Amino acid sequence: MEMSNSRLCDGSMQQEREPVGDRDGSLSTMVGPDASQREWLAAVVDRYERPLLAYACRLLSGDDVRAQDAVQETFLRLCREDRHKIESRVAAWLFSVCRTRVIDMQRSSGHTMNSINAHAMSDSSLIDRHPDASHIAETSEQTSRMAELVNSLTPRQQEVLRLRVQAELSYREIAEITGLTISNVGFHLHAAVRSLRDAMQTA
Amino acid sequence: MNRSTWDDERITEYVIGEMPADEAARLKADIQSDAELARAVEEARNIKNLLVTMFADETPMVLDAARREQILDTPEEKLVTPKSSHEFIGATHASTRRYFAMAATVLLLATTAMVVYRSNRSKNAEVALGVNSAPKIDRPPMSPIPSSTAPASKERWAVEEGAVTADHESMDFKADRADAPGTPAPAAANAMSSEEMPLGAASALYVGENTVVEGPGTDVPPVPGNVPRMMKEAVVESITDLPFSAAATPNDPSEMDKRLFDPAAGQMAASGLAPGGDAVAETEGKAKAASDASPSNSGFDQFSSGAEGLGGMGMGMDTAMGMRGGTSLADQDEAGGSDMPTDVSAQDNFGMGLGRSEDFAEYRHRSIDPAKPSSPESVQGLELAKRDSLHYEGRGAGLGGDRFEPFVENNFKRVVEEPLSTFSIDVDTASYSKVRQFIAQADILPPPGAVRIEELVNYFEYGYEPPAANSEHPFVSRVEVAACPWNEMHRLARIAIKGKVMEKESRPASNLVFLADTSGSMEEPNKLPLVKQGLKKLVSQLGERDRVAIVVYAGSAGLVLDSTPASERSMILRKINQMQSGGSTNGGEGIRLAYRIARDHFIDGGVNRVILCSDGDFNVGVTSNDELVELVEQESKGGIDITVLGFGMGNHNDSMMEQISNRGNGNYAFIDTAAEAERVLVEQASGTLVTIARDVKIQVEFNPMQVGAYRLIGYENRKLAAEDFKDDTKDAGEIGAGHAVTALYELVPADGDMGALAPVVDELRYQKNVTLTEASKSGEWMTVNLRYKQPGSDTSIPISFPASDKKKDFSEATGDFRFAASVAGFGMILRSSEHIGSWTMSDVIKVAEAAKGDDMHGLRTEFVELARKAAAFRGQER
Repeated sequence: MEMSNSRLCDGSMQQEREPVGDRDGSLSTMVGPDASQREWLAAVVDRYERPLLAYACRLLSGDDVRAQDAVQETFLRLCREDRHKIESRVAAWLFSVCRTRVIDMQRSSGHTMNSINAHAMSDSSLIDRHPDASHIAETSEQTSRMAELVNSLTPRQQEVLRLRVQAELSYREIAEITGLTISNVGFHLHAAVRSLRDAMQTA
Repeated sequence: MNRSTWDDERITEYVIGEMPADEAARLKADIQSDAELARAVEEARNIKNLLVTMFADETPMVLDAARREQILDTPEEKLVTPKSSHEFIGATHASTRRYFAMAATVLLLATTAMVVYRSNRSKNAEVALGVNSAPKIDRPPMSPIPSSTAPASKERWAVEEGAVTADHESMDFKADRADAPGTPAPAAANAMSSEEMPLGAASALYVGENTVVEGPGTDVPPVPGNVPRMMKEAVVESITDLPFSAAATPNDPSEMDKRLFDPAAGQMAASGLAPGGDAVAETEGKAKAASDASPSNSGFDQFSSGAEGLGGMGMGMDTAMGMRGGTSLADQDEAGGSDMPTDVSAQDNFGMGLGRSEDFAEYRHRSIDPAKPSSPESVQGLELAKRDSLHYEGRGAGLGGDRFEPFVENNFKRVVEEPLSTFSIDVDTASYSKVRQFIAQADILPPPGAVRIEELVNYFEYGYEPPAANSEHPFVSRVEVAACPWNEMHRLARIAIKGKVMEKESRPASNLVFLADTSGSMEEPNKLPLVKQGLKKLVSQLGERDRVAIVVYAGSAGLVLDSTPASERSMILRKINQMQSGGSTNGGEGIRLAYRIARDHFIDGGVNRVILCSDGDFNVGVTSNDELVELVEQESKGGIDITVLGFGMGNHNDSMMEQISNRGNGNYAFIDTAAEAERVLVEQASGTLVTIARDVKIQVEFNPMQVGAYRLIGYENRKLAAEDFKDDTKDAGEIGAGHAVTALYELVPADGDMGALAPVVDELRYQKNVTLTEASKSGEWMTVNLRYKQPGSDTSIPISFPASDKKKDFSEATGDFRFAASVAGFGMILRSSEHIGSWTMSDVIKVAEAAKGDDMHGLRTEFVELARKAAAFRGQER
């Protein structure tokens, strides 16, 4: 097996996804530099809303309404940015901003419900999309077992794992988002995989 | 065996697909020969695949259709309407260039021009604040940004209009400058013409790029009239200090000095200009590297690229106007020579300082001006800080991140159960600067642990009368009681302590040891460069009898300068300039060395002080808070005090710094900006250096006849047990010359409703009702007992005086009282205090605004701005 790609990814996981390395590139080929703001935005939203929501939701302990708030606010901020300046690093930018939003929300919560929440709650016909117990039961036994194990990891490990595996960000991007050093990202990821492995051994 | 195999982090790196090809090939080779490793990789791959499936199986969430539409409907152009300006990051970078052109020309005027240069920045910065806070204030987060696209032709017209505005502004500058003494008039006249243009361009551009016509008289900043110091600081930080980072690198200081003092005017200008040019260009490089932004703005001269760097993200430049700015600059570039020294310390060396009050007057005046360009510098500052701010949350040892010690807010105590409230005074102000950094620069609310209310309240100057010259005690204290603004049923008592003032001339001889952290983590514009700037400021305050030594520590500690008389200023400054950052942080070793030097040069009856400048990120050697704090505590026993100056954001270890200063006879200030360095090390140099009373403790006894319950606001980490009050071995806070200390109590009157305050213990079986003394019928509310030690003495001296409630309404209280109350309220809101009742930031703003008083240094105005911004973050109405 030749390792020609600098990002060795297991083929099976990449089937339905864009290869990580081409992520940003594919975005710009989908929407060329001349694409209208709307087209570009639509492409970015399509590409990142899911991982962002999943990420925010997890950080907010499953509060998906607030996750929607955070992600919407993130995209609205994106609208105010000069697209050309952040195009090359849009993933890291989005996750960084989203993370900050979430942290701000966590901070102000518990006191007065701020207008963001109040607004969101009012049209909250949303179902709880967080994978709760009943949902997990529907998925295969193995993955539900894995979900449990993941939940037992430290919050930091979970965050890094999610950013890497679900959002498919590079160590560099994860470092930028979380404020860890790149080697620390590697350390946490490895520690996560390792403790998952240990847990599976003992199970 | 399994264990050791799994120690190999490459396993994860490999299966997760992060490994570069060559390394992967090597690992593959290893796998061939190592069955254990092969199995581990297989297991890891299995886990990763499961994870991928698991994450993919999570019910996919997408944005609600409505939200999505809102995002996509956001108009393409970034638009400005008078009341709702957005963050025009895009709009600002080009104006910076112009802005720099202006700055450069102004610098040509040599020294006096400096003031103008700065005030210009301030002026721009001011708008920037408005700009940055505006979106949150004016637009509910969930509604789309209003749109009003202007046709291109209009845009052109707008450009001209802007130029006219700018003319007015430069006229103003002329007038201002004429008033300044020693202005080189002819040069000014000359330079002015070029100044006009850039400024005009700036305004014009602002208008043009945003496609909204802003004539003079249009109110653009959403909060007109007052943004004094905060933004100025932000600017000072993002501009003045960036150059420093460049200066920190390879320059030969002697060479630098030579050039700085070169009498030729052109050279002078060049040296002034350089910070903008060189240094910024370098910073830009850094910023780029950091953000992985796309490269290069070739085609512009060095200076304009520098300016662009300051503009922050500014890559996509353009516009004829931009070229104009660039061009005018290029001329100067030639005149001044392009190889320019990069030390902004020119300002310090020339004794320019910050020219604070003048500046302030100036931009107060300016702030009523109409449309002004937003300040790109500060935008960039914000961006940078934002990136930093992602690190803010506390982390465990070994990881980055600002660390704050969480603490629980004081609760109400029933007077019958705990009649005594005892605490150590605290003159620190670090928490306020830290909070300001979060809100003003990083655009987020501080974590509650960072908010120490007493430090917020004590940050401000109050008009407390110092003790008379012949006073027995080195400080006086007074009590004022009025209605509690956030709970009309309660009373608010303020204990105000003011230390005797000491003129610079009468300050005792000082033996100072600068202990500077030069580890890699200090290599940021708001750290080491600011440290250097601060130390230089302090050196400028020292006299003939004072001595300075410099110790740096990184991986290992080193003596940069043995104790040297302050008269050898150039040598000291040179050594300060030479400090560079790199390596890890062995704080313990540095602290030991610094104290040893201080001991070696101990001055009896003088000021003996170690000045520790660090982000508190100690990561080598002794790193646990406890051990380091103990080390300092031990060292401080020898009569050597410590001043802790905290710097930076991202891995600032607040809790460590606070503890070091508390336990090591110290004071702690957080230096977020050059202006704060000025405040702590110049304006309050005497207070920072000279301790007039040690181990100052307060014990308040409440009269149960009058007071039912009380709550000390703040001082959570300064509480003492009642018995510690008379225990002279128990350490407490120090008061420096001229320092003021304010403590606030929220009181529930004896006849007040204490329903919410259940007794702590069940009714006692053997006794009931406290026996009241005769004095309880005096009508007094409390007695304030103070104990302090004279410096050099081990025995404490008691003072006590009673106080009562004059039944004042809140509105009848003094301005200082009301302002302090608003600051406390601000802190309580930031801490999400349960005691704040229905008070919101808008109440804070209202009270503070009305109680601003003279506000000599603009600190209170800045506070109001901060509260406004915080209110916007919290989603509350202003």
